[in-house]
Amino acid sequence: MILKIITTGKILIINRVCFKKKNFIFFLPIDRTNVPRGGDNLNGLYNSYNQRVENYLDKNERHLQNPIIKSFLNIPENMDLLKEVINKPTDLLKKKLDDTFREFFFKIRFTTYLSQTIYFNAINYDKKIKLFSDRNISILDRPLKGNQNGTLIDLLGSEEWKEGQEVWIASSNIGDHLSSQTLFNGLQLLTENQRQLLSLAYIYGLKDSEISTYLNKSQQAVSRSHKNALLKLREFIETNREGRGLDA
Amino acid sequence: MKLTVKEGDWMHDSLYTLVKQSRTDNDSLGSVIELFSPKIDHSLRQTKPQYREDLSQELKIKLLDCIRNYEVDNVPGYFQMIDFLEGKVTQYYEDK
Repeated sequence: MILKIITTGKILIINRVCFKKKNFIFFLPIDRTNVPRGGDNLNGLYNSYNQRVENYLDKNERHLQNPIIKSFLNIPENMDLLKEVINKPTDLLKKKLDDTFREFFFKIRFTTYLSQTIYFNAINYDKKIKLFSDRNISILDRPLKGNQNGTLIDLLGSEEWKEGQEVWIASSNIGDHLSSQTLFNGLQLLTENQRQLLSLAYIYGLKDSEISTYLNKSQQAVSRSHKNALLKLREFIETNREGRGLDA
Repeated sequence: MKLTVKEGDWMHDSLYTLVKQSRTDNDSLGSVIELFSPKIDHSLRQTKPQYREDLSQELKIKLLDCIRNYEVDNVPGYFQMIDFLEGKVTQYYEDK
């Protein structure tokens, strides 16, 4: 079938010949020098191209089933180029076909490569984040030791915990808050006034000036008394430690 | 994975040329990464919102490496490919 015929002056130039083979549509570009005058030899022309192309396709049929090559040749321009190369295998045309194919193949290969890189790296990143957060739980979120369920923050917020704390906090005597036996013994040496002062200062966190208002004394007296009490305690602890060795 | 090549401006701008230029030209590198940003955005959906920005950056850094180090000339031409299919030449994939 002649696709297109252009008349320029007296010479008839056949632009392209087109036929169908194995579901490809071939467009045959025809060299001007080969164009038969008067169009009387069209059948022969068609046959000779047809023959060469058919030979090539038969020879390479197995490879044409390769997905890459198949999709490459499914694009009409590329098929055109291949036809040209079959009929006129010059280095220039071969290089053109090579380059076109390389670009085509590259696009597919590179896109696949990058897509997979993105995909797998995203998954790896998620794993990394999960590992990091599992290893670095904030203290309050940590699960409780032993058989208890829940986290530390749940426990601290619970009613039972608060009730337990109330009993302990309720005592206004500093002796009840000490965990060191030595310190407790030392406390017994102080005056009742000093014990009261220490209770106010260290249980309720009052300043000397506030204590002086509370006890209706001068601030200087409170400060001196406070200082003396601490000094006495310190002396007691140190002498006791000397007497009992370092393990006190 | 299904490969979807969307028709767009970049199809005509030739990814091939852009990647080839990326070795020396940062603008080309940028536009290649830009081309793949829809794929990156898609990958972000699987992670928690507070980490998305970090992940996006990580992926772009990774892509930078991949694009810069891609052996563009290792891609076979048509005749090399036919040879390869005939089993004459096997070296194209050995480095990969």
